[in-house]
Amino acid sequence: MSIIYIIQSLLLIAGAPLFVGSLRRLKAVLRGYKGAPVLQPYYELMKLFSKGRVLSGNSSFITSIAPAIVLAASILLAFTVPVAYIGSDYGLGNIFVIIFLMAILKFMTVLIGLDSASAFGGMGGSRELFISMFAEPIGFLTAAFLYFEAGSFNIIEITYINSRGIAEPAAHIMAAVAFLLWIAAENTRIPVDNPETHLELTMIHEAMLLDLSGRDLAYFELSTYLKLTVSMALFVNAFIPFGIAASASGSFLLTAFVLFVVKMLIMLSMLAVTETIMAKFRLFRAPELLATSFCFALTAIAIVYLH
Amino acid sequence: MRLQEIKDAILAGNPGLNTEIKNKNELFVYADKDNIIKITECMFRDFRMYFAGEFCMQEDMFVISVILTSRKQGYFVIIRYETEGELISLQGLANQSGLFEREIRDLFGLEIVGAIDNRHLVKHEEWEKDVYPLCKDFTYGRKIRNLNETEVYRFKEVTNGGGYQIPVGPVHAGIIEPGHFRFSAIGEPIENLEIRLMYKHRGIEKICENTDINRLNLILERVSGESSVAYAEAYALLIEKILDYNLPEDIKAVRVVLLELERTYNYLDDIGGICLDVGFSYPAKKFAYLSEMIHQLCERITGSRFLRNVIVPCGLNSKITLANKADILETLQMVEKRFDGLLDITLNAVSFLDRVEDTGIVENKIAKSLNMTGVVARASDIHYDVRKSFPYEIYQSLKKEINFEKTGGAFERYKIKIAEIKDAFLFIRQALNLVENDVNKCREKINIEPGVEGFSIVETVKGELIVYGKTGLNNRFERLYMRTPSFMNWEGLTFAVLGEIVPDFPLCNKSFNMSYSENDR
Repeated sequence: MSIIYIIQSLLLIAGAPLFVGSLRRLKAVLRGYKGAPVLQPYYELMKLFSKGRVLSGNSSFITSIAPAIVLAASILLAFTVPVAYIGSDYGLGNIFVIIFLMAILKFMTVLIGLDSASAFGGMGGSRELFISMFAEPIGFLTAAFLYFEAGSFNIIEITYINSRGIAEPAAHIMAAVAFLLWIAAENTRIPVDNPETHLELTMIHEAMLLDLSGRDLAYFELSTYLKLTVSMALFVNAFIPFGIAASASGSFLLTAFVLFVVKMLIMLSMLAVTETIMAKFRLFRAPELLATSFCFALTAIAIVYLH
Repeated sequence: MRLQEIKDAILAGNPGLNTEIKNKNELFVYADKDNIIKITECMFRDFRMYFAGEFCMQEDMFVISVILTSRKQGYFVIIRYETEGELISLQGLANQSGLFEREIRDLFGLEIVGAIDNRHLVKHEEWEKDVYPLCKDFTYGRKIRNLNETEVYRFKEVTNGGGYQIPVGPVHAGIIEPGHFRFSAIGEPIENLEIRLMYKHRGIEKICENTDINRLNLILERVSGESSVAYAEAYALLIEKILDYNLPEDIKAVRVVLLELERTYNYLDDIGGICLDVGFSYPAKKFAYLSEMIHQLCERITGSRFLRNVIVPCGLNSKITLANKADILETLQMVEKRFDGLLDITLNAVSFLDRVEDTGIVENKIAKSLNMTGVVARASDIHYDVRKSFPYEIYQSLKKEINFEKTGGAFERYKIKIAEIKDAFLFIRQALNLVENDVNKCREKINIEPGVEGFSIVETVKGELIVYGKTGLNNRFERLYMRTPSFMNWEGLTFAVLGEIVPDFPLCNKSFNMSYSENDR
């Protein structure tokens, strides 16, 4: 395995809070105020790491191990996606590994919500699973679409093939839209969940973490940042991979890296605009949105398959 | 029916009853323990009076006063009886009277006779036994110790089947006041909600009895910070009514300007809050920005962002110049322009309308049975506005129409608040037209004779505020009672959320936006 893979994934991990910071800054600017500096998520993590941890009296061993498992899984996740370079080594990047790593993240998060024995944790957990019940099929369908399109279940290979040209642009765009909605649902963004809210009764993701503190919370925060960044990197490389470096030459790598950052920034701006101009959906309206996304994915597969 | 006619009708039905008319619009009926229920019933049945509150005074005996109002004619009827230790329950007869009885029991130590609900209201489990802070023998300034001597409060709970409890508060994730919400939910839909408040009871009524009346406006302004002007106004009206004092027209106009400025920034915050709670962040931030512009305007003209210490009894404690007038008009024009643009954004956003429409509905029947007042009542088709029924200052010439909506949901409350803001812009302009010269600061020292009493009533941003005062020795009040609007309106929220899902509660709550501190008075 090439050393460049490892370096680019490490950069992705290091940059994840920066992307989240930029997202917050973008949203602040759109709403007409200055906002926190883009490095704010790093400061928040540092603050949390320097704090002690308080455990609920009702919590079991789950609360001790879950934060570590979640962080480990999300770091591993960052190593499965290409960033700016794809070699000929497809050892990593199986889509099913990615899907199941995300499932581990979700499973452990829900467990930790239940483990503190507060009403909010259970409520958050039930909502999270309710949403993911509708979101997961979209993930699988998009994977199936990519398989039909590129003939592989390996994201690195898919990136390589898609970067050389797309046979069915219409289907490709439809699948991309489906995947974007999937990103919003899986990462609990507006319109499915409001990550900024302070209202414990409307929370989905945050409700499960209400009883965590200090280092545990930092692990979860970091893994949330990573999950968002990796989901977006997946989108960028599976659907708009043009310009990615297929050889390890310096100038190609540099262009690919700059292009990656630009694409990510465009994604972040889209997210920021959506979150600014629309309200969150009612909880029971979210499935309708995800059903739309499901239909998009299905149609995309049908188009590719029929050709 | 005029007050004199009511008096005659009561006397005809109950010969030998003592009655008295004071301050032009207050009829006092002196009943006793045995006939209080009968008389109250007849007031509801024959004269269509509304129950507005009940309070206790300690003289030789405990004196209980039941406040009834006529919303059509704008007068009060007070039914009074003396008692040694028994409080005759009107529960089942007068809507929400249980709240007042439980409050009196906790603060004076009376025993409620015939109560359906006699759980503690003010006293929490932490309180020590047998302390009644509003009794005269409770030393002023004494702290209540946390001894955990009060019995445990029993919540209504849905326990069988899939029902479960969600306790929220009194400490919340956001920085808000303390209140405990006990949800019983089956899945996401809310089956029952019970609200427990009064975690930080401040004993303001006790403080008022021990403060000189010339400084009392400062205390009242702090009952609820967001309604500072309205409380100061209610206090000023009370004193002026007792003294039968008439203010010059321009001071009255300035007071209306201040009251409406307060209304503007409150409702701007409210509708911004509604947007924020559904995750619609752009208008939320912008409404907050407009509210800040009004706050800064308030600071420029009076030196206080909340317009505190401006309205004083029989005067005005701040000089309003013509430059101030121009400033107000200019700021208003700026705010109004942006406000209209923002309204278009919210009222045309499908995602926003989808959240607020058909959410948190309080039907007219329920709103009536809870005696709700203010914007939340007007959203449920109750045509009552204190400014119209009991016009004070120059509202008689300003307030012609009452804003109301039919359905009673969150969206209707949103629309009513918008209508009130638009009205406020209009009233401020009309009132400022009456100000042709600088309005000078005028404040005089007030001396008041003991033993006179009166009621004043004001439309605050939350609803109808009634203040009762009876003067005592040393230029102090013997009893000052505030029937705050939130005290009665909070109950409406428990009906608004029934059948809604748990994540929609914050939206319903924000569309009510009742004050916690008005309970903790």
